[in-house]
Amino acid sequence: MMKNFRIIPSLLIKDKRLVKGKNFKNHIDSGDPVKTCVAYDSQLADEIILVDLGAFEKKTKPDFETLDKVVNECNTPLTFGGNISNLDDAICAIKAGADKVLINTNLSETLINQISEKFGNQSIVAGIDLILKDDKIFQFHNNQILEVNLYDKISEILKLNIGELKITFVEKEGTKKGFNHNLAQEIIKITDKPIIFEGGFSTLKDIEEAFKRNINSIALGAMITFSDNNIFKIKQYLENLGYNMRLRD
Amino acid sequence: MMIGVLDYKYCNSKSVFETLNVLTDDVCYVTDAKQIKNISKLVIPGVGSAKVSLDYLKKNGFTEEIVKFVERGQDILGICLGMQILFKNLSENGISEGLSFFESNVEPISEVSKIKTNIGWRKINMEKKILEIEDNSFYYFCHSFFVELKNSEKKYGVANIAELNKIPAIVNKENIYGFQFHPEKSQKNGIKLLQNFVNL
Amino acid sequence: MKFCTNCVIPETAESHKFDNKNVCSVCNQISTKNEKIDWNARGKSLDKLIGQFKNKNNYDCIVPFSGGKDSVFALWYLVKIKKLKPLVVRFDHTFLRDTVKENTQKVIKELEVDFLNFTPNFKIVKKLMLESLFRRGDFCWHCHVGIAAYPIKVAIEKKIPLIFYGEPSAEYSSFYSYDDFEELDVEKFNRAINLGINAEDILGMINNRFPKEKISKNDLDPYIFPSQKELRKNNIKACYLGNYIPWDVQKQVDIIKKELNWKGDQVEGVPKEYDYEKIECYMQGTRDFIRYIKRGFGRTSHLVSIDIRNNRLSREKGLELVKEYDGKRPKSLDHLLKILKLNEDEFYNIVFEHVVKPHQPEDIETLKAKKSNQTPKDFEKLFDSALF
Repeated sequence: MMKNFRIIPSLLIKDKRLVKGKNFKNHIDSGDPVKTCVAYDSQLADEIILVDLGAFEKKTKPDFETLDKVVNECNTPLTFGGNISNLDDAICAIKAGADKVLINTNLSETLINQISEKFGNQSIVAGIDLILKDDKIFQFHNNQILEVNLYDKISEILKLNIGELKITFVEKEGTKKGFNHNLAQEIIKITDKPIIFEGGFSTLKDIEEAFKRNINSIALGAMITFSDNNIFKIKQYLENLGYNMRLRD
Repeated sequence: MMIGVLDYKYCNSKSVFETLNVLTDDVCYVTDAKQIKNISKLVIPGVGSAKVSLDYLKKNGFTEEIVKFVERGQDILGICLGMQILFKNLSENGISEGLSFFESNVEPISEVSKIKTNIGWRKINMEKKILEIEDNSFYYFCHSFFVELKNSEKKYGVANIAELNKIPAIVNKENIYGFQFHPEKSQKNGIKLLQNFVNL
Repeated sequence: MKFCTNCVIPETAESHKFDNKNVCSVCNQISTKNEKIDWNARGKSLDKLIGQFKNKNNYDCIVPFSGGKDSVFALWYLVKIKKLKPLVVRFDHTFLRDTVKENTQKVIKELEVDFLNFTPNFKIVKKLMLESLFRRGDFCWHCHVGIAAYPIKVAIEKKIPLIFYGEPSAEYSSFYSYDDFEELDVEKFNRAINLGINAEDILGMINNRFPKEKISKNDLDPYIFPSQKELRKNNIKACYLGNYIPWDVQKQVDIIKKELNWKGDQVEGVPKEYDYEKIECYMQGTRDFIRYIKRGFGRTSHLVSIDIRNNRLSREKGLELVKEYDGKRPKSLDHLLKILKLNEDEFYNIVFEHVVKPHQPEDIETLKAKKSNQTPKDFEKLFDSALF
């Protein structure tokens, strides 16, 4: 079956602006959420992930107002997250125009069932933040770092009625140090469900390597925020190498 | 000429509305069934769930008004779940009865494919030419259910998903149009398509 | 690094693709232009387009202008051949050279047109230059964006919806092909012009970098591009003359030299015979030097490739010229460093962050050492610090 590649800008909002940092720290201004999403829309991004970092840090309501403004000008599928903690938050997100909600901290069977009952399971992305250190795997969840068994943790989450997973390699986040291909390979053996990977992509070769090894959905942060790479150019590069990318409409 | 975007509570009507509003000033939300008499075209958006939406439409008098609207021959467009509810029986969270403009039913994707949820951009193969849509063009899909066209209704299938050709991407029966994908989230292709629907 | 087998452009070029014979997409586009486009039909479309807008307002259209060969030819063509009454609009990026200013005066007098020149706040321009150098390894954001956004804002304000740019981008890049009727809309602006950064984005970024001198969104008004909805509501049609008539640089330069006494100029870093391209900006040499560092090819590569595609030069001769002229450290770099208050090593280190793989730039000492020995004569006067 032809690969269904997705290249997805992953953006963080704080105080109504986009921010970007390293390892979830030292965030600096990275632009206007609306206009940046419009730029990615024009550059043929396959989807956009927008996460309210401020809401996550302060445990406040997610910024639906900014989401609303982004949707007004952007015709690219949008996944929204950042302290979505109850059904009402999910309703606000979808009504503001998100196609999917990203649930990480507040992942529970109850919440997932409530959301899928109203909007269908395809509207739910379960987010997992993983750290690989000294050959052990840890999950970063709700501001705690706990060692987990990779297979058990992912299987547990797969039991929920979700559409897909998003897995972030946290110690690589923002560093552009390179994506952990081996760990990703372990994970895709566990399930057929669509998985979006994020964390550490730094070069075009990095992306090509992932696609070569059967990863087909990747989220990019620092790589596009802090350099001249744009989505269109990334896709052009991959197409030059023989991958079938969605480049012309 | 007024285009109504149906808001059936648990759905994403906003993206469809905003996209149409870039193309024309003559668009409004339809939140009350009584409005349907006064509009010339109706769009039913998606991002919802079969049972909850169909219950809502029935309880709030939308079902009858939509049936009358379609009988008057006015153009109606259903997007994703909005397309699926135009059919007979939907099987998400138990069996719900749709608007039954067609006789075929809506089933889980897992019945015809290894994947349970189809999320992403897919090329579609046009079997007939409508709305100036080009063969092999990309649109964005996000769904776990699909319309399984009965043999007697295969003629209403206008396009399939190229890689998943048992899944109809577009259906059309006279004034009824259905897109399984989201034109409001399919960038330029989707906008062109909506412009052509506006111009019908 | 792979190079096109027809021209001399490598794979690091922005939007180029290579076919199975390793010929780049721009070379293929040029053959489409010459062989597959029905220019008669295109010419008729142009007349039909003009018919929709002519004589409806005080001006028939806007011509965004620099004084360089493309905008001068476009203006000449629309006035003399199509008999339109345009409003000529120039966004002054601050670095206009004397010859191009003289050309402008000659042309607007000879063609008898109204001319609107806008010069933005230079203090803000300097901040924008530094920020975009950091963010994208390209200090020209204010110019890319200003020359695109400003004429469209004037179009909306003065209700002159038809805008004619000149050269279609298919002449040198593959964001759009000759089959497309290219328009400057939100999509093109974000895909191919603004480096992916809008005014609303850079506002927060420069306030971050210069917190003691914060500016507001209003201060960046000339750089704000309208939304797609605003473009539609105002019926804006910002199109490219080169989609309607076959663009021929040599022929066009000959016409404007003859009809308007247009003059070329010496440009840093290119052979003397290329006196007609990129004469507008005296920072051009540094712009091209940055491209050389990031992507491994400079302005001479670009120019000889155009000639190769139009059968005016052989590839071998092209490569010789590239070897002699590309990658020389330009004099204008001194001036950029002074404006941005950077030292030369800092400059290289910033640009190195933006190198496009697989190109690997030379090291700092090598780059510094290859000094250009061709500084245009007007640079001494221009780089006088009293002017800045």
